[in-house]
Amino acid sequence: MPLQQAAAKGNHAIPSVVVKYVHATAIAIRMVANADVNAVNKLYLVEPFGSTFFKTLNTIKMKKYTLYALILLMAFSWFPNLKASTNVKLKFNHKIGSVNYAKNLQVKNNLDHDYTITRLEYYISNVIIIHDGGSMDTLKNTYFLMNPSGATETLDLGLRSVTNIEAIQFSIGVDPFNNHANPASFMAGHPLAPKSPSMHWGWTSGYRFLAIEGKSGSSLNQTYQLHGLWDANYYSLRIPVAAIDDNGAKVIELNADYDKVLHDISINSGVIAHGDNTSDRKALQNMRDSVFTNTNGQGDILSIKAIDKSKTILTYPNPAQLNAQINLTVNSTEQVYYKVINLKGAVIKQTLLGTTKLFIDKPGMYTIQAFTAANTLVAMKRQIVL
Amino acid sequence: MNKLVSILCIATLLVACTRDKKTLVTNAFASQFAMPIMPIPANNLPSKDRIALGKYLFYNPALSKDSSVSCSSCHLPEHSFTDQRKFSIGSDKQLGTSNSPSLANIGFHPYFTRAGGVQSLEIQVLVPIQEHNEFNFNLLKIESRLLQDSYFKKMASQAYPSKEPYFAITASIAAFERTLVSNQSRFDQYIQGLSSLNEQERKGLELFFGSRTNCSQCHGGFNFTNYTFANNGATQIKNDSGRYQITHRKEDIGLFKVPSLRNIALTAPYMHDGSLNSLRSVLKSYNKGGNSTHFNNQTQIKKLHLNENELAQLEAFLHTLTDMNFVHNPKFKKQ
Repeated sequence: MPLQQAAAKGNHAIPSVVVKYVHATAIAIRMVANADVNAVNKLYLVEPFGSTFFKTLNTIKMKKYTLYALILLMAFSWFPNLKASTNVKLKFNHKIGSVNYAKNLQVKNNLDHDYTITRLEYYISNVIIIHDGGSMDTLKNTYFLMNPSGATETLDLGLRSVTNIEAIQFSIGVDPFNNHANPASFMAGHPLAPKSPSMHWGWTSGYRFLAIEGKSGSSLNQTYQLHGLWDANYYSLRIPVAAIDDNGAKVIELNADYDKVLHDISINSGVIAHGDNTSDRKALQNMRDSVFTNTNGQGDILSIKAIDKSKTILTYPNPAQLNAQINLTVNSTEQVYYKVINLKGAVIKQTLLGTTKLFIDKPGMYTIQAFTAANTLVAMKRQIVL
Repeated sequence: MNKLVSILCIATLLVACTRDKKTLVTNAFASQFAMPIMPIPANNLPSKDRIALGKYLFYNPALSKDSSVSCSSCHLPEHSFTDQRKFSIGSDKQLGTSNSPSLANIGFHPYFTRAGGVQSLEIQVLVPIQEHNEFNFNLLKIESRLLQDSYFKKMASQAYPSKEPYFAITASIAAFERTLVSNQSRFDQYIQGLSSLNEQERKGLELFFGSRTNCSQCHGGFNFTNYTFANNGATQIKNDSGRYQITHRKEDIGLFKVPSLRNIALTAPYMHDGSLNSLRSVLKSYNKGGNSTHFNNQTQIKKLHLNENELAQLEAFLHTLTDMNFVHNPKFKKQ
């Protein structure tokens, strides 16, 4: 009797999802018995509950002894390392224009302003591998502090359950949750731990997403320093890629042309912009829009490039007393719902679409995020509860 | 004789009742000054070693680039942890850009710096370390310097075992700062019924909490601040846009954190820019509706029409917020 039928007729009804899962595991056992390791690997690459799949499974007859083995295998199958895993690497070709990147190289930006780069550091976070028909594999809590020093640099993205990589997505900077963490709370060696020179600005209680510094002017006697930061400038980009197989690893290759960081930024007379949202923000936008391309020269394809800065949340009162009503307004024509996020990054509250007020029952500092019905982040706002 | 004794007793009772009435405050009034629970991060609960290390570092000039200034250079206990300067002097004698704030009861604050960009005392320690006109230094360089100090090494490993030394630096200073609790002023004793205020002080209290001045609208509660951001009509600093630096919203230009008034008589000069030298000059500024007009002025900033006597009464009341036990507490001073 097929297991689905057995379950339906038994005294103890088994949920259909469990039945389906057991079916999937049963075929795995038979594959193992046939020493067909490749077939086992493939098992995790097919749609587990697809119709064709179950058409095959329904023909399998259950035997009593198999049930115990199935239960054991089900438990093991939760471990991701049983899935088909491939080491994925992200390789950057660091450039300035057409030449390999090097510090102190004298070049001109598109405004014909001479400059050198003496410091270039930036964070990459929220890396997402888009693969196998649009599946998204997110590298959670993974941060890379980029400090280019040579022509190429390769990041190890670890063992991933991917076959065909279609695009790579990442953000420049540190996500709003960890952006306001205490750097000293990270162990030495962690990208977010204290650095020298520092990647953290104390007065903003946040990280520099990008620090680019150097000399400018025709005699290179001017100083420029652009430190891009702020949650609202945490930009994401997605680039179509075709990974190359290299000794069992899949290598995604990107070009990073740092000349474009300073495009359309006047640096001839020197400029110091530390988070004031002038040329520092422009540099971050350039990082998003034009610095990174695939080997065919194609850049960002992400439709939503950033939070629209014309959209803001108004909260009143702010600070608010404990359990007091907080009124919310977003200058958007679309209806929104809100998430309340504490300093640890946990969502402590989520409202319904169209809500205009909320209550918070614990004192502290929170980030309130507004989302559309399509889950698009519209705006963010800090809220203090006393 | 019996009649005489009875009359004397009644008279004594009446006098006693009258005196009691002068010091009597309602529970509702007193309750707003009850000391709140101090928020303390779970990974930095206080201990004797942590506080001792924090105090050692608070007074240690090794935290500044040229080893010339420490936290205590701008935060002196006898002035309620301020420094009597308009702007503090940092490493390499660089001049600061805003007046040093008091650290009294700093552990109760929900956020830090006058622009309000910092969420915890531990992170706040990073601000002066890096600011060019304060310590102008780097946490890792401080750590490297302090690891040559055997007392620091011993105390850091005792106080924060298995933590990085740089964690011990920021966490211990925060732990020490949380001990800076001031709640024994004459006003505190008054609301507990342990002391009385004289007539001038009481009239000042009434003015302070009354609708003629609305002082307590912003300076209410245990710490005499509602922790909001406000523009009170003080003169504007050209390069300090206050809260705007954090939010980049026009309505936040020129807004600064409302400061605590505890020990206010000891913390001159006043305002975020140190532009007013005495309490009386502050009161006079408010009395005339501020020293400057600003498009983000608080609506409460308007002419108060107080006479000289009333200004003196308000000033007398503000002096009752001085906590001499706090400023002379040997636990807070360098040994």
